[in-house]
Amino acid sequence: MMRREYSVELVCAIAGSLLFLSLSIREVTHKGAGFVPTIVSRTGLSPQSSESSLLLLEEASRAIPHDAGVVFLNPRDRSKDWIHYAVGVGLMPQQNVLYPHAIDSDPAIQFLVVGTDPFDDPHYAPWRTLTHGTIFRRK
Amino acid sequence: MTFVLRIVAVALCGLWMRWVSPVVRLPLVARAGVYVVGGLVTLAVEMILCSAIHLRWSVAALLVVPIAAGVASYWPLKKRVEGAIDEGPRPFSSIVLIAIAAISIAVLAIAVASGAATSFDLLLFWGPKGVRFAAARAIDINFLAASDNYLMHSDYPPLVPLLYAWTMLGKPALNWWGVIATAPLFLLLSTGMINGFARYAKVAQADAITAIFASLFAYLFIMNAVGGNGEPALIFFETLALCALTCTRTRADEHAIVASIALAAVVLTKVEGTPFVMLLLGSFALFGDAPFRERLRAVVKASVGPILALGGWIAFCAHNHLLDAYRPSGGALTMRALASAARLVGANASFGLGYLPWLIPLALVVVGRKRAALPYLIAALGYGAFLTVIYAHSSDAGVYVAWSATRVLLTPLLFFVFAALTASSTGAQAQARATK
Repeated sequence: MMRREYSVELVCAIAGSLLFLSLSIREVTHKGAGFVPTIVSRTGLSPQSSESSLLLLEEASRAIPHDAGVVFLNPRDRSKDWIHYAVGVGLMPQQNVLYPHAIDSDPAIQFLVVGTDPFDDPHYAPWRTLTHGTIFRRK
Repeated sequence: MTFVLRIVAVALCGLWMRWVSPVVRLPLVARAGVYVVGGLVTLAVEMILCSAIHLRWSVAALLVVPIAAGVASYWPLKKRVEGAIDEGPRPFSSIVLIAIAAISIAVLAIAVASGAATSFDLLLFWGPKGVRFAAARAIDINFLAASDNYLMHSDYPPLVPLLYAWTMLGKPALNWWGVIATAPLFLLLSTGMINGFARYAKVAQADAITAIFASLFAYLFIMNAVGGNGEPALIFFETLALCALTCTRTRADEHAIVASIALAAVVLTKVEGTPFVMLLLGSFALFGDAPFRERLRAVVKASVGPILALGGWIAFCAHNHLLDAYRPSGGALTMRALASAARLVGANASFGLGYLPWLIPLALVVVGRKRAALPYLIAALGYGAFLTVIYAHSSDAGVYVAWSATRVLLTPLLFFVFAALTASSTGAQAQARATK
């Protein structure tokens, strides 16, 4: 009796764990495996734009002076300001990343980091053109 | 490299756990996880205390006390090593099962390394907090209190951001790849703990449970894309707490101090940690398979850590006017909302796999010692009820359930794995009592 029960347990365990392992392999095959430049290159709803944003911030954090007031912005979709702000805080630890409450009037904002979308503001002028966007500096 | 060294230092900071009596008798694969949990709790407590007294963190200052305690723990050890487990060679089926577990964790590691197993929660919440804490060399109260950061939830348990801050301390940036690599690392350590504790307690199907746990959670970590988020850490700590209360040889309170430290980590990791502690200890006390006095002793000892940790954190937040999620709040709860939330949670609980993640551990319960599994099944049901009430309170249950249910359901699933583990045990504790 004991031996039969143990063999049922073993069969369950081997079959179950093989099933979950094959599901993991299927998931990885589906998402793709191999070298990518960022941690989100194969995740989320729009991995391409996420990857570009992270690479842009990485470049910008090297270019902008330490402790400067910076806003990371998507001028085309201001409803996602908070997301850009939070990602900027994490990826630009050397700078003072600020929330874009009033980009034209807040003197603490010295730089704007913007993706490839068109951006025009009379208070700012392009400062550096990067691979995945542009840094603007307050005039 | 710094990241790896800092993670190794975490384990060294937990070496003092050797003082806790039965830890040195556990197999190395279990001890490794115990030391990492001990180290994380030690560092987190030090970092919170330093922040409370306005003392800036430094790597050296944080390391001094735990490393000294760890070194000192090697002296009076000779007597205690007696009784270490002595096992014969493993059967072929065990080797197959352990290989499946190892390959599953390797697949998770590949998913993480391919940028396919994390989500924006890391970039929006866990990571930024860690970065700001490291930059401020303290829990940055001004940052948490700022109205711009209200979505960072000022009083959210801080252990995971504190770990990230620890790895970045004195460095210009956070190692994001290292951070997401903690998911396979925590799963590897959790798997080692389950296997080591189960072998210590002479659980007949230790390797079978190990394989089910590792393959199931590797898949769910990939599916939920939780690399670098709080879930892998939470599951890691919950696993140790469950191991410590479940896998005993002599008395139910044998590992209660280890459970206490693991439960302290649980409540400091995510808000869902608190109901886990209450349900685990409550169901263990009421329905556990051991004499009532032993269970009571175990529960009393195990509850000290989480009470002190959560109490201390809430006091810190209250003192600094950071209370948010832990502030008491009310709200109308209707039967209709409850029924709707229960339906949504129930549908998501299938994980798109026809409820197989639940059914496979349950099959082991059915053929095993059902009575021993009871506390864990009841705790899982209780956790499901807790989730239902929380979702029923939310403004748009459908959105919240779709966003988070398959992640928060990992905890009741862990209860099911431990139900299978206890059901397949030989009752070594009961046998030990019988021979007294």
